[in-house]
Amino acid sequence: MGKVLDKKRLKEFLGKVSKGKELIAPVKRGTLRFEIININYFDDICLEGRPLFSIKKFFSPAKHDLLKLNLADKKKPFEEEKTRFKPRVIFGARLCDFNGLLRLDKLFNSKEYQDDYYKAARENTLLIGINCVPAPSKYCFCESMGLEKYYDLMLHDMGNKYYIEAGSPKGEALIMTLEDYDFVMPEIKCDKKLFRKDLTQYYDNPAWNSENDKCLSCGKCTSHCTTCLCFDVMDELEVDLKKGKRFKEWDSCQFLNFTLVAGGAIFRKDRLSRFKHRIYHKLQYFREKFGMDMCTGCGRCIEACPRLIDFTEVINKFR
Amino acid sequence: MSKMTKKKVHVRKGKKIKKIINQKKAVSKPRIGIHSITGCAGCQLSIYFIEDVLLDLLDKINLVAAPMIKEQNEEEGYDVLFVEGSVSSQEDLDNLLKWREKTKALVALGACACHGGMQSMKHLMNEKEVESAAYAKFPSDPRVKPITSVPLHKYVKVDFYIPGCPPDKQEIIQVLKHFLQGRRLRVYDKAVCHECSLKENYCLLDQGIECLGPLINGGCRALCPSFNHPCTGCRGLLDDANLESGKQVLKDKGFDVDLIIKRMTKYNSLQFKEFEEKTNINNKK
Repeated sequence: MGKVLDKKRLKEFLGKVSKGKELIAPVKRGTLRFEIININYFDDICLEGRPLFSIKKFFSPAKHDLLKLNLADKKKPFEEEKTRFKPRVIFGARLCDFNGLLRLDKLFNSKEYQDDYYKAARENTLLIGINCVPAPSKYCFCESMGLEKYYDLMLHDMGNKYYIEAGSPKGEALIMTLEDYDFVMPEIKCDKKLFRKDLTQYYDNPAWNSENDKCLSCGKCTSHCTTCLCFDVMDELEVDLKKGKRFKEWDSCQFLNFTLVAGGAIFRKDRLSRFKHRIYHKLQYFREKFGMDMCTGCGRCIEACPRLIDFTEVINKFR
Repeated sequence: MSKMTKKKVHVRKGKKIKKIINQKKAVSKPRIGIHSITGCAGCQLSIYFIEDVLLDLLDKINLVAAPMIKEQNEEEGYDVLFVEGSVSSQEDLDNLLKWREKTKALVALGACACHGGMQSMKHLMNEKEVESAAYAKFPSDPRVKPITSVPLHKYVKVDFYIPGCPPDKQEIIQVLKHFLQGRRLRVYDKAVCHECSLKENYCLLDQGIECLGPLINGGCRALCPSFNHPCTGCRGLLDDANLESGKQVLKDKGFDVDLIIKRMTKYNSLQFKEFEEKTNINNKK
């Protein structure tokens, strides 16, 4: 059983929850996007529709410094970039966004591949979502992906009030004082479906070709994806050639030179192999390794693609 | 006591050696040249526009040839030579071959040097007609007798490319810094769309504007699309650009095929022509 909050009191509630913290919410600035805002600009928050860029940028930024270099100092030529995190509250993200974090946790928050920035960001962020009824985009297909109920708080719009459900002890503590309400959170319904199956035997299926012919290899699908995490690490020195930094920047498996190695070999030279790699990684390889699909069914890759390439249609053809 | 003096001598000797090494280093500053063939000279200007670090850089290099800003220029022995413009006359070609012989690393600077630039548009037209329209008035002057305009790599080996019209200042600095470190920089090879989405721009194609982002090499940090100006392709087509699909994107948005081709060939006629030929051959197969 959850709680209920009058819509007029949302600002007050958010203000209380985000006191001393950074508030991140979707706002309309040209397009809808997640931004850090001040609670005084509460009216800018827009919960209609869904930002095309997911919240992963707050956990694994598009570009971020790893090391400070100082080659003049022979004893300590580099120093780790330390980030102090101000606690944050993400408000108005969707279930697919939060499930994306669950996938990223498997890598960046694991013992083997721990990313300090990511870990600190995860520990200091409170997740408050909004239920997707109705589905915010015609490209959504998360219903088929079996998402987990992963959040601190989830709000459901009921006209003049919100029904709130807690998904963690942290969340429960926040809504303790609110009024009880007897209601069941409605399930998300999507127009689009994906019939998931083992894809191993379909690798050479000609059905991939028609969508691949449309592919521009522009990398928009990966940069918009909730779970894509590949990055490139680069060094950059200042003009004195002593001081500098090592930073990481998102990369994309859709680019020809993503698999370029010393000696000039490229493992995935033709577009088709790159095109399939993304989908197989999402729906096959990741499952084999971690027991869950990497795709959360948000449909952002379809919506962002200049040709609206839809891999679900290809997979649905395999019967 | 004697030990002390011995030590002192050692130190002095060490200092002397260091001094000599420093002097040698000063002599062995890399010799940089900046030359120009047919083009607007804007690329060269963008080197001189690196005001914020130009003086620091000049400390580290020996600028031996830069006819635009220097009176006395050496004609040989360049470690790194920047050449802007495309080969468009016999004089250009002669100069380029001469420079190449005396250069360790040749950098093609700008859209013309890398991909042919605007003057290579005549690859898609009747060359004689274009010529007579422009040069019929001076039939006897050999200097204005053009040859088919092509980028540098059609005649000489090019070691590095800095595309763009004009090239990005930061990229020029990067290249110079890498040369000074003896490292090899990677030519940026990701689509403009990638950098544009790193910046979270509102996609111009979604707004119905004829942007060439998905087909064009980035590295410009999506400068034009960030200011709502569609990408016109000054950094050249991606090595594996999917032109057919790219045309279809713009057709779907309701743009005229002629306009699409004009857009794509503004800087990259030669590349475009080669791509078309390749697809024709593949289709025949």
